[in-house]
Amino acid sequence: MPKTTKTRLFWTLHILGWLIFTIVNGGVNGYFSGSKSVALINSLVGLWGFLITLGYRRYIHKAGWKDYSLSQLVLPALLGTLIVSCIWMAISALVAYYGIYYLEGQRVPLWILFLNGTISGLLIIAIWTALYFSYHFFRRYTQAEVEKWKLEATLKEAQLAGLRTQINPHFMFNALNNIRALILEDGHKARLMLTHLSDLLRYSLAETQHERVSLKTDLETIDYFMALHSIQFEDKLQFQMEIEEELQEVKVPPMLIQLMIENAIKHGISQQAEGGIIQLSIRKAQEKLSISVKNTGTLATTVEDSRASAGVGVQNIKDRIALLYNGEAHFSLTEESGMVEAKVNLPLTS
Amino acid sequence: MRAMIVEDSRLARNELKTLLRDHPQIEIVGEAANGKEALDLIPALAPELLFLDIQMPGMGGFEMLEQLDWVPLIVFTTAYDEYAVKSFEFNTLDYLLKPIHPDRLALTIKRLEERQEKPEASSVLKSESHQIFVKDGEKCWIVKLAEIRLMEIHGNYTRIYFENNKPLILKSLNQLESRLDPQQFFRANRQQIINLKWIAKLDPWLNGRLKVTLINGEEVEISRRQSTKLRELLSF
Repeated sequence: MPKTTKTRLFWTLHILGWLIFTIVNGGVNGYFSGSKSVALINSLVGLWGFLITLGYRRYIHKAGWKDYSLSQLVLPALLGTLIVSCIWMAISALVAYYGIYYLEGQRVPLWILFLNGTISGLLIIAIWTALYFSYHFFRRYTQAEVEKWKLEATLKEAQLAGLRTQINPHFMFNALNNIRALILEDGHKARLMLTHLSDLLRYSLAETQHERVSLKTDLETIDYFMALHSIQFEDKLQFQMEIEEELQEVKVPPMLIQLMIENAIKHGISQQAEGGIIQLSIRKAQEKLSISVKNTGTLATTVEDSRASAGVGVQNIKDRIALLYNGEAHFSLTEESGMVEAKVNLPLTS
Repeated sequence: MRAMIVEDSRLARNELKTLLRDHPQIEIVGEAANGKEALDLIPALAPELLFLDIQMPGMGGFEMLEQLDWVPLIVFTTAYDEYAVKSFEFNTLDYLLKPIHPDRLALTIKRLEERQEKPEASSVLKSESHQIFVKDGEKCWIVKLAEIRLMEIHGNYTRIYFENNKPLILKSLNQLESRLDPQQFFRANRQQIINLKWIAKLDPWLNGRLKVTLINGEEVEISRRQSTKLRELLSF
């Protein structure tokens, strides 16, 4: 809330509060006593209350009570309420004393007038103080909440940026090195691979800025990706792909599938001298998008290997889908009859 | 110079061979696609130089080196491996980043030739210029035997002392002793082997035993039986 709005709110409430008090106090007392002077004197008491609490507010500002925690505030607020209400009552007693003297010609002892208003005065100032600080606590709380949300949003964005899949440099330089050799061996194929590599780089630069892309777009680059891997591994790598046709337009996080395949290659194929198979299958299962990447190998080697590389890839996949789908996506890693399966279930979105 | 290429990608091997055509002094005597294949070939081919990829299927470059008793000169080839770049403290001949720049390779070959001109670079087993590969956690070294001053039993492992490092290697002290030159490495007691060239001081100790102080200040007590032997070894 801007400062001016805040100030306006204070003044509105402050004036309204004291006006009501003055009308009620003066009116009720005047009505029951049937005396105009009682009504006038009580109105003046209200005016004084209005002015004194303004001074009190100024002091609260200067003393920095607004930054106090609730427990820090209890003692000063009690003391302040006591002092302010005493001052108010002392002045009110004087007003009443002279008011009654001049208007009615009576001399009522000061101490009676003072004590007469003490309880209600204390109560009114306590209410004022309570309202004043409640507002500030409420404001501080909501501000903290808003800041927390903002912070969380920024954090999420930053985390996603960090997790965004980029082309693995190891893969990229190996591909370049292989293409260099391929130029002498098979110029045509070398030219094709170079185009694949540039398409892949462009995709990783452009599309990964988006949170989601269509499956069709993502799958195109998987073809390039696998072609480039095949010149590294040659007959050591077999790739099989099975995708349900109607899923082409479904949205997926860009390069998530690539990351899963890369992981399968790293822990599966590149651990075995004789190589192996990678199977990608994308299906609709129980109203979810089910992406499965299988590789020949065992979890044991994966786990042992992850000691060194700390399972970075798997963690990255998990973190990324957790952030993007707020816990509605699931990742699992299982082993069955010589195949390790990494599976991601995503909510179906198009 | 007899060299061997250990590299999983066929194209990458071809690429390196193509680049090495400009350096006829390097003779490629063998190729291996992974660490296991290399381990089978190295003893038979006895290459003086290895071009070694760090990441390979089955058995990587580091694991392979750990299993070799004596390592030839090593030139690491890697696509992108900060780990390798960081971890080699000293004595690796070189590492090359793929794709390899021909000028960079020429520099490697030049370094190799300078090294060869020095008489110490012989390939005789157990000679002090021989080197072993040591990996301790994150760090790797290729250490010349001459630089090791002390070896110590540590369970099934052996702790070796060189420069300011004392990493553990997965070989027993007895295993090492059988392969070391007894003229240079001396069994001081049940726990320790010392490099005689690193002795700074020799003092008589209790019961006719000897105490050795090494150049770096480490003190080693020689057992009674070995003390007699050491006296014989050092007497003219």
